[in-house]
Amino acid sequence: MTEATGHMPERDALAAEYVLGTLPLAERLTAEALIESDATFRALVEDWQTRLAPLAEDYEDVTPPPGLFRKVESRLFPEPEPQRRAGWVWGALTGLALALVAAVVISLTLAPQAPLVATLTGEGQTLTVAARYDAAGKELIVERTAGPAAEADKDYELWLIPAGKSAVSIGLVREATLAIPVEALPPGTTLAITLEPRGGSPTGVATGPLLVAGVIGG
Amino acid sequence: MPTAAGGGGVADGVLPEDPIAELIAATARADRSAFRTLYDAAGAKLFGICVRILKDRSEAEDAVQEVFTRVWLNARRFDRTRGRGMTWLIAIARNHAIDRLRARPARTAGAEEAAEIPDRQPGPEASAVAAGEARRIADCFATLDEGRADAIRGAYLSGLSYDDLSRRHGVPLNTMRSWLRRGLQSLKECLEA
Repeated sequence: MTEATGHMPERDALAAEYVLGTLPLAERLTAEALIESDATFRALVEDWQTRLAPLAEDYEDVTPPPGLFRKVESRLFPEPEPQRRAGWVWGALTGLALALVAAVVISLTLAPQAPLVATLTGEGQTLTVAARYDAAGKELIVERTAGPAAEADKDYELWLIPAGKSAVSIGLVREATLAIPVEALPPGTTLAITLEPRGGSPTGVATGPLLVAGVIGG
Repeated sequence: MPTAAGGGGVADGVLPEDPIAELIAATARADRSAFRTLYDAAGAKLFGICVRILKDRSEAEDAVQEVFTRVWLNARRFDRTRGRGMTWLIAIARNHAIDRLRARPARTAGAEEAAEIPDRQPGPEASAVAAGEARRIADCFATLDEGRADAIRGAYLSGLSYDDLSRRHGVPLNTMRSWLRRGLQSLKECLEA
């Protein structure tokens, strides 16, 4: 039997436990935040993933039900909206006023087709929010794709958290879809929704529980 | 059918190929057909992971959808110099499934059921490209005492928490934690020896 000769540094132990999966949720979330913010910690985690990877050979394949990939695709790549064609036809009718109307129609119908940049989900939450970013129009479109609206005396407050910075409130998600002007949305930015009193956090800092979050990939 | 298990690909004594890594790289370039091929190659493995950890088929279906959504969104963050493609995918699936498991209210199913599932199926020694690494880890597991090796394997495969493990072994949680940490430390020293 070998016995460890020394103590693992705390960070390395946390990385090992995160990869092994034994930590309670709060500590897992701490580890996940560190992975995003601390490259040294991220490297420790990757080393443990590689070290323990051969254990994954014991997972048996289970064929997923047919149609599952289709669901992934429809989440990521929504079909073009039918109105788009209408907008196009109206545009072809020319006339300045009509062109203006068409531009509005097109911008309204193009908005949902802006590329999906994150899916906000949370553990134990049915609430799911898709975030799209229209880089040309500098507009973030959030859409509640699953789960209930907030209760009458509450609001879902949306926060933008640039990598390594503190959260900024950017809106209340009351309708199923919400468009917000956002100058830039670089990879690593986190979008998060907390449950707040009606009207949003009174302090400007999140006071309620974190419901769902997602990180912009890239 | 691509052999997706564990490493994927065949080494043939030359540079190990990593077709999964190629597919992730193509996915990062927004190649939807490569993304589908990736799903075909790895979907059953990742679904198997979610089923094993969550022990609930319908939740596992939700989980694996989220896993592939994250794969698409984060493919550009995959760095093939840091590890194999399948290792990256497995990490995403395990992390998400375990996060879901930990977020479940109190104790529903979990430890008890998990205890019934044998964690000692055919060892990692049967792998293809990762045969060398697998043999090393199997050898290193053999140097651990059996209880510790089982605990590590059970935690990794079934998502057992410190709470589950301390009940299972009848020891206080903190004792379990330092006991397991020493096991991980021994494992690391052995693998790096």
